[in-house]
Amino acid sequence: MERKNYLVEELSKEEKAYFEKAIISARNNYIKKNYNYINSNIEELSENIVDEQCSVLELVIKKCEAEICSAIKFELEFSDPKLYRYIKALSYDEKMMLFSLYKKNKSIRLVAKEQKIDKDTVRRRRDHLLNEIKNILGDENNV
Amino acid sequence: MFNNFNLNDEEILYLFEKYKPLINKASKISFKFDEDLNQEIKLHLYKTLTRGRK
Repeated sequence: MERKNYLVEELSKEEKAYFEKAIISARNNYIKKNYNYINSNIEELSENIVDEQCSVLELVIKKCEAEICSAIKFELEFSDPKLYRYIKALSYDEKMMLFSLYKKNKSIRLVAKEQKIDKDTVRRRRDHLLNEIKNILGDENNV
Repeated sequence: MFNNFNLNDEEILYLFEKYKPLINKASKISFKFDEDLNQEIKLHLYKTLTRGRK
């Protein structure tokens, strides 16, 4: 029997049906084998979408609230009225920097990363603030 | 059928190219093209169409 050349001739009806059936069975086998993986991917995706829709704003608000609360708490830490006034007059970034450094014991690198400034800037600001505080305390001792 | 499942590589590649839309359509999961599934289908077809090779 002569060999059929598939480069020239079309597939017969049966061959085409067989070809399609093979594709479908390969697909079904793949889905069966990877059922858990495919479903978990879909779930994760839908969870992320729900998260994005509902809670991004809430998360941002909570984070801001926590930061403002910590800055206010830091002000209240100082019972000395002169020192309290000085600390109150500091900018928000300066207060947050001191709070992170001395209350949360974070490293300079972390604080710089949080505030998106250079490490040297953090050191410089810290030294300046500590000098100011020392001066205030020194004045009080002299009086 | 398929010359007793003894097609050469050239013929198989030709069939892949000819039936590309059908294969690609079957390679979608949740409306997204899945490359692994596409590869799996082609591998399955290749094994089927060459199983009569000596």
